[in-house]
Amino acid sequence: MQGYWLAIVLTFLIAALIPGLLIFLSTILGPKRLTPEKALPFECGMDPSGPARERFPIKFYLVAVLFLVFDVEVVFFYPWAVLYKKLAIFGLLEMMVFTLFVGLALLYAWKEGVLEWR
Amino acid sequence: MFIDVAITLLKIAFVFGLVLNIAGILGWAERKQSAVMQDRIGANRADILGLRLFGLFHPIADIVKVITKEDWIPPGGDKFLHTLAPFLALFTALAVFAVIPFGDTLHIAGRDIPLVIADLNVGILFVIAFGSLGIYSVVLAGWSSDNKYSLLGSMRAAAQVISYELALALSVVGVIMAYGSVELDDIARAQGQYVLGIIPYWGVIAQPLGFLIFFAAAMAETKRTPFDLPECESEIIGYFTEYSGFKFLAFWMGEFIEVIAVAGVVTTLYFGGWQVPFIDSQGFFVPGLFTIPLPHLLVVVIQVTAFILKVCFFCWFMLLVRWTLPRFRYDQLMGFGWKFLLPLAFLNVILSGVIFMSFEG
Amino acid sequence: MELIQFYIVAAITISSAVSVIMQGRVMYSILSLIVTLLSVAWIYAILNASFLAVVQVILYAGAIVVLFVFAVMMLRYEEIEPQRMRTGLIGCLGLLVALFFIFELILSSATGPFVEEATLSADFGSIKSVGAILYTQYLVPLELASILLLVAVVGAALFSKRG
Repeated sequence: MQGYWLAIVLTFLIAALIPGLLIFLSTILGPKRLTPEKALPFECGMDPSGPARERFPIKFYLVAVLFLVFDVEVVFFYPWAVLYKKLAIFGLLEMMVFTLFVGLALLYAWKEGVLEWR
Repeated sequence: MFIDVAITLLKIAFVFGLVLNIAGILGWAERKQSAVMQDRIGANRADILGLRLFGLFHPIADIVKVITKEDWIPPGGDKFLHTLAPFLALFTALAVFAVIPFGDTLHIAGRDIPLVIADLNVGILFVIAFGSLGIYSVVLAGWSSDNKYSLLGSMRAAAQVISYELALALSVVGVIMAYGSVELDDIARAQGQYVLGIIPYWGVIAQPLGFLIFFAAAMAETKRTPFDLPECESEIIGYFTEYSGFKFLAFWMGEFIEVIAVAGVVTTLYFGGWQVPFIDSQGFFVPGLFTIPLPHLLVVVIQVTAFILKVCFFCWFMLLVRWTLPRFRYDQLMGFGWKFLLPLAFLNVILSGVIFMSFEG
Repeated sequence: MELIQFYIVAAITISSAVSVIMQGRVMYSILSLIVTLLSVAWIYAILNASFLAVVQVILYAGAIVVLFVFAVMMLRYEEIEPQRMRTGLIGCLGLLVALFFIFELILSSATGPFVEEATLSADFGSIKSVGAILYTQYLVPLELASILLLVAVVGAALFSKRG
């Protein structure tokens, strides 16, 4: 991995430089004419009513929680997949048990209506 | 040391140059594609000295125009985060290309140059990691805009992206199982084998279901039709409503770059990467019959060209899908991700485990 | 070279960690946290643990912090801002814990065994070597982890019903 430090750092630098430079250029080159209408957020073209930070359905948060749990489980699949041929039938059975529990979790969430959007 | 830096910089210049150019052309191609499919003419006005070239100057004109537009930040919003969001959209999309191999190892002047910017030993996981970081541009854009609809839009977009990320990450597992490596370089090389002596052992042969899951999930990740609810420019307002000038374009450019990244990863994982059937380092061959030797440099050039063509094909394919399909409703979208793609991806892993095992004997 | 890199990354880690608790605005705290987690990933990468590094990015920076961000976006801005810099009992407790860790750190660095120029096997920290241990030696904890995650999903689902 050591040999690739340089390549990665250089890639990050250049990948940061391109958008950074363009955004910087656009802030310099663009005109700045603030009119009263521009002092308000655009929204739908109407004058905004009420504060912008509203409450949101808890649903979104639940999706994030489920995502976190399943993401952890998905990451466990990678080392297994790499060693799949070496671990042979035992590894496959192992992972089937693992998947069974993951599947149960998904089924439970499904049955409880976490995945429904109304 | 110095020569290594120079080679790396050359590779970065080649890849990023190519990516940014294709992204620009995609902007034009999308307008032309939609025009063709809707029986219109499409972008054709921009000209240099009367030369129009089917409107190919439009990307250049767009960039010039957009950079000289007023860069407006909503007064109630957060200046720093508002600028950071489009920056992140481009950065995370560009950084992915560090690990995508675009050719076989090049032997030149006694050096072995792998044609990939950084051949990391985590390979595809690097792509997934940066894909998952891309969510912050969406979230920050909505948060910093001081606009409730933008905030709601970014929430929906973020929920969509994380939902489909699971199926995306899981569908890759099948490919890793088939080739026994996470390194994209190894995966591309392993696809040079042949099944039954004549069919190239590409990812799509080993993982047909995995490919479909990956492609669907990846299209959702890039937030394109039929999964373009976060943006749907023709209906509601999305998370980058409060953006103008170049920052607005940055989100679109980021999207196009993501499209190219998806095309690149799909090509590498499922369509042989830089492999051309029946051409290997020895030259052109017909299996079991004869071989026509080709010079090394020519083979590398053919392979790099093949990779670029494959990437362009998938970019175009995604444009085609975009202008063919209508978009989902939000509950359908989340349902499709969680109740269909994710279980299918789990099933795919177990099924391919059993199938590979039974083939191994 | 490696040492310079380590010091730079460590400095970024610590200063961004300090920034997490010192920031006045929640979103900036979260951004600082992301920087901290990413630079910790970079430290893992310096230590040749490439798989751990990338998992750190995927899980911590890409999933756990997303949860935080969602939580922040759920709340009304004004409701959370004023309470943030509250000191008092919790602050004192935090300081105590921090002091304890600093003490531990000094103690262990003064007495602990050190290996100069440790030799690593070629594939140390790679996804293969991690998997080879995980799926043989630590098989039972792995399966238990899947049950734990099942419990987490059940908890989340119940929590949605209450709400």
